[in-house]
Amino acid sequence: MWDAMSQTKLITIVLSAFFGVGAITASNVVASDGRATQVDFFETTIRPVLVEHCYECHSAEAGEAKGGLRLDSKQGWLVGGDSGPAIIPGKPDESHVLLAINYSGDMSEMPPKSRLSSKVIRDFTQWIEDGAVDPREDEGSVVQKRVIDIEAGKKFWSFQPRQTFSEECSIDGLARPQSPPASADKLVRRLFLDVIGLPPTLEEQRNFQAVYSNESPGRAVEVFLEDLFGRKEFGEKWARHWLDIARYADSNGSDFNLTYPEAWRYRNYVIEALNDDLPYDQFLLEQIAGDLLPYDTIEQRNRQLVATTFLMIGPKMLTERDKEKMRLDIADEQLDTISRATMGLTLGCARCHDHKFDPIPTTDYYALAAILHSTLTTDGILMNNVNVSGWKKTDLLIDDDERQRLETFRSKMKNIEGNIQHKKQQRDKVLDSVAGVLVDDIDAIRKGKWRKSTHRPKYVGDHYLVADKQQSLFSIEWKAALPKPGRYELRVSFRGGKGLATKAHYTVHHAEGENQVVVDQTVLPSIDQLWQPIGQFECDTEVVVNLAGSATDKPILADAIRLVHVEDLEKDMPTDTSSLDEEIKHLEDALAGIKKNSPEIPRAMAAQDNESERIGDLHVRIRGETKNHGEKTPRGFLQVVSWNGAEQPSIPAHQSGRVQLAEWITAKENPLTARVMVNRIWQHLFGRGIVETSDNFGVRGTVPSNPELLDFLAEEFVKSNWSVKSLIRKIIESKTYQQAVADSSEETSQKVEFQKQYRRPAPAETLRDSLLAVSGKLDGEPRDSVVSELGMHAIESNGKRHVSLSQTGTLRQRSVYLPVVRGAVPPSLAVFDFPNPDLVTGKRAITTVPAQALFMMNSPFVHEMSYALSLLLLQNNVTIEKSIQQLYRRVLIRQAGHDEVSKGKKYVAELIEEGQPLEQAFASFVQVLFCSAEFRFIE
Amino acid sequence: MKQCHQFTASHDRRHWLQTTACGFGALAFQAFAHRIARAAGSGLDHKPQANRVIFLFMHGGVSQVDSFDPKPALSEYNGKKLPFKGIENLDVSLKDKAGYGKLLDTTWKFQQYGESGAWVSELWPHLAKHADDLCFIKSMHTKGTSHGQAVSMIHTGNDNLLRPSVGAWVSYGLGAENENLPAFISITPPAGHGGTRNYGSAFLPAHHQATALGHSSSKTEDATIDYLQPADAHSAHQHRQLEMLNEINKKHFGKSRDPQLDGVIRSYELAARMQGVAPELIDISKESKDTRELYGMDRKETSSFGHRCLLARRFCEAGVRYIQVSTPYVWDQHNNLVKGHTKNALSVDKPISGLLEDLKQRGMFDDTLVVWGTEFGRTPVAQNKNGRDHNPAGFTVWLSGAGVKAGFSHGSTDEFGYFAQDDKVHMHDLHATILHILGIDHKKLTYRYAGRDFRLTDVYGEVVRDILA
Repeated sequence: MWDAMSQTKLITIVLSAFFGVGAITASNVVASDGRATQVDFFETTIRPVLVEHCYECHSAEAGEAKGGLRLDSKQGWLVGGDSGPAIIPGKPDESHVLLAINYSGDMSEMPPKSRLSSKVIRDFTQWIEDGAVDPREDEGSVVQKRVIDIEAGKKFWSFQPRQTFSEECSIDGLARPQSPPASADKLVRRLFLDVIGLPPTLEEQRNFQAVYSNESPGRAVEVFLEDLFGRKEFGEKWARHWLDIARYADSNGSDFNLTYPEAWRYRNYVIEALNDDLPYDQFLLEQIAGDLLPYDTIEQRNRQLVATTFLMIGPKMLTERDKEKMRLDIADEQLDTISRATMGLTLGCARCHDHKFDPIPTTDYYALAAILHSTLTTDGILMNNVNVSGWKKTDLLIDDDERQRLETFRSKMKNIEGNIQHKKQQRDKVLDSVAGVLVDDIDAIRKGKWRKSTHRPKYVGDHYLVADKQQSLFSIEWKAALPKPGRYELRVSFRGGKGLATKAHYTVHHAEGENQVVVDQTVLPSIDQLWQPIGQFECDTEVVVNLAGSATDKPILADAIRLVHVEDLEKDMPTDTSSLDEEIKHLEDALAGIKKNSPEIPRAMAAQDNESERIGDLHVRIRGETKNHGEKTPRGFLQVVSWNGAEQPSIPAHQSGRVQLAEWITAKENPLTARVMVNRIWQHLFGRGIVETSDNFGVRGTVPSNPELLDFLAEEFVKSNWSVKSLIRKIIESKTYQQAVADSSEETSQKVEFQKQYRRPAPAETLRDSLLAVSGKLDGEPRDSVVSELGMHAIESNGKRHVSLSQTGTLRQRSVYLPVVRGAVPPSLAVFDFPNPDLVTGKRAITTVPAQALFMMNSPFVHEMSYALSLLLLQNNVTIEKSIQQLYRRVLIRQAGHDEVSKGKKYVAELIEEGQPLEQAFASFVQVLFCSAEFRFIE
Repeated sequence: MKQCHQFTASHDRRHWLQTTACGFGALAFQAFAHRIARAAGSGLDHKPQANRVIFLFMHGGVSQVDSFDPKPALSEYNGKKLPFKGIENLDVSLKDKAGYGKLLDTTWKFQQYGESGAWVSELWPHLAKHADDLCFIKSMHTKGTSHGQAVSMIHTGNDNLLRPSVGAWVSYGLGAENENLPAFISITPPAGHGGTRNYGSAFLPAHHQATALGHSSSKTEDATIDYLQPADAHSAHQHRQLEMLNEINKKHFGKSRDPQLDGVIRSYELAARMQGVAPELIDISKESKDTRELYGMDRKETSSFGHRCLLARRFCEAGVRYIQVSTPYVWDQHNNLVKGHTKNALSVDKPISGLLEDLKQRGMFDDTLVVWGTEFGRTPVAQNKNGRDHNPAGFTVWLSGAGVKAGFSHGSTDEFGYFAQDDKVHMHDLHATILHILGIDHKKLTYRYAGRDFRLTDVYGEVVRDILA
């Protein structure tokens, strides 16, 4: 097999060489001798390599030439592929072919499997240097590149302008509901779960029933909807839908799963925006460009800053060492999120090549990406590691009172700090007043590794030095100029103590030669617990003291030296600084105490524009490769998404262009934005969208099942000033929404979409919140943030996770307030199809898996809720029958049938007979209802 | 396909079952659907050589030049400069301005083993005895200079974006062999460096994600499946509960005949079966003393990873398709290479060779593919005197068992073991090869998401035919 292959290759080489000879002959006629030699060189040295190693992928025979590059003709490399010309005659350094075969890292490595020999690479270098003479002028023909036809692309339905509708038009007129209204019980449950994500209380059920039967189903819905819109629970339910799309998380995930201590502000922003019915266009504008918008009040400013957290919370590969690649990756993630969230378009593909399906050329991608690339997302480093990027944190504005408080605090701190400084200077003075010549470490010459420290309580000057445990040479040399020759006592300073080296080798160079002195640094020095006399020496006017070693197991300290003339020794009484020491310590303690209770400026994880030199247009990156630059593209928008009067923006050179981007997305005429949002809302109220692929309105998405209905809703949405509540009201008040669920008999399954309602699983949050609510355990008070208390790591690289992340089962707040740590989503949500927070998810997966069953049957959470509800229902010594009736009302929002009551009663009785206490036995039955399919579905 | 008789309802129901997961029944059904597609000539199918995979993941980066890829030049040039440019952004602290690090010789002696004469260092004395069972790829290269990227790359084929993991693709492609167990189990998966995304399903239906037993720092004996069993107080009456629940659910279903509700019923049944099967599988107390010793469970140093490997064999026997076993994040020796690699190799060497032996004894070696891998190798140049930096440009993995040549070595690195040089194998190629051995064409196993047909190998990957048996 191997031999056969080699033979085939050999034949190819021989043949091509043979034809090559022909070419030489032909060229010889017209070319000079020099050229003839070069052609010869090409034929014997270059062409065989091309044939053997390159043609497989880069020739006419290869079909679609890889990277668009063909190497089987001169024209092929002159025009080049995606990266432009592949060979620049005379310039090997700029020729992509050479960079590629060199495996230099600047280009894809070619041939991909094995590197060519260095001789071949030298030959190619030579050949290109000599002008890359290539006789294959007429061979092959260059592949035509596919060109995207934008105008043709605009004809696709989702890029077309919306239809307009007459006054009489309505949802019911377009959807033509065919099923009767749902029963009061089913309708009130559906209404509550859909609007606020919590079941109705017994009283609410009764009131609804009354209006439903005395007036009409529609009237009952109207009355209650108004009430529900006024509750904060509305925002708490609907915020989660947007947070799915915003891939909201409280941690970075990815390589370093660091906490986002400020992300919760954004979560609360979304809840409040929905409760305040912030117009959707404004909502988007603030999230994309809130930091750049004008403002009247501090609250408005802060809200708009917090809104931009939307851009920041994606997962980021913080340890990417190629930081430009990281910035492009982040811009890519942001762009893909924005475009899918708001317009249902996936742009990611166009990063490397023109979009294969949607009419989006690469240039459009980079026109948009540059806007985000001009935005500051990552900033500084984290974990004291140059390879780990951090992200931008922005101080929020504070009002005058807070500012006052902060300033008072700051001046207080400054005061104490000044005081400490002052006392330290005093102490230094006392110490300095001692006679002699002092040389501190900052004036010494050091070699090897020394570390500055202020850890120990006493030292001279601003710090002392430490040589930590090491295996390499280190030394420090003090040089003292003396006022007169004579005999001096040498003292060295170090605050001795446990753990230090027992042998510090000092060498003293003096008038009579040199002396070695070994000092045990574990012993406290005799003078002021800082200074250790190490001998007396005859000196000229200069003394050099050296402390050195070639290795050390224990830290060695180096601080200052002092030389005291023997005549002055008498005067040099030990100085007492203990009272000063005490004062300093006292002040430092006070400072630490104040710092603990310091008012802090609240911060947001907010975006801002880059420094002006980093704002600007981007080069297209060929095949998405960071260093492979194509043409520079002016910042702008998608050509295919345009309308009459739409213009490509003029983005001022010093701005990122996010404001213009947001304005383009939220323009009333934008054919996608309103359609995408109304479809999302519709989907949440029916379990399916009018466009089934709610995150993809492109060519590969599904077409709307009822295009008029979609456009009608979109028109109404825009006309009502993008009011989300108005839109929800319109849908819920329609007969279409209020229809009964039609079951899947042959007849009903034939019905056109939305001529019936649909049974759909309750979302994870609704399930959990309902369990808490009916069991009387729901804590209605929001919780700011769980992760802000966790420190930097949500989950460490070794897998250690903060204990509170394993205990989310004990939290009793609504689900929207639970921490969304990437890789550690609370199980109560995760098993019920809570989306992966790395991804934009407009439509959650629907699965029915054993993990859910195991959670319902075995989790402590469900057991606890069952028991709590059992106690609640049994508390007034009511009969079991009554309790069972109550149970059905509360949990399933309906009356229990006679049969159901008697079966329940029998079940409880049997467990009691087996020795279970009443509460346990009843809890067991409660759990059965929690597990029931009826409870887990909205009908 | 004995499961398929369960699915005889209306067209509507069948359609729903195809598009919505409803437990292992649906899994089996999906697998069935795939096989139909193959038979219909989509070309997806070729005869599989292996029915399942055990993937042993060494987290942190195992040094190839100290393990399986001896480089005599290192001893000759020890302490001298690397004569060519290293990888950009690596060894930054130790390079001189021109970017040339200093070479560091290996501490361990190499020797040839078996008839194949495979080189193995003294770090791996037990594995060396299996030299003739192993198929080395010594020319691996991958994407990502940092752990997060490379760990994601080896598990999902992408260094940055969230993608389904290899096991999830296998589950999606082949379904479960045992309808009471998931198709993909990850024993003590890495919790850092991407955590769950390394064994997740991303946009594939959620049931394709791994069922995890603890995470890589868990004590192996505590690692179990979440909520597998009720607290004792509840276990006594659980069968009654399930009966009652079944009755209530069936009544509810009876009114509507909605297949979604049937799915719920089925999921409780399957959960109950899994509850019956899985605890027994996780419980190794009935394994013989000899077996435990084979895996090194009798010694402190090897007991933890031995236990993990033994669990892998048990899941293998029970018909799980894809089983991953991970070490803790311990192999990252920027410092203390000698001490670190000695300790780490000691902890896995005996257990892995025990696993190979046990698979052979039980006749499972012939239809099980074992893959030993690490997210990247380490540089032949020194870092911090006694350490090596990450090296995604050249490293070694080995495969063993079904589908690969035994006692074989493919590809090579340069003379210092820095760059993969001949017959280079990219991580995408390894993935393509693993799928191929399972009978899957990596170019044809696709899933449409966000308008695009995704596959494990993206637009890359070539089966390494040279290593196929």
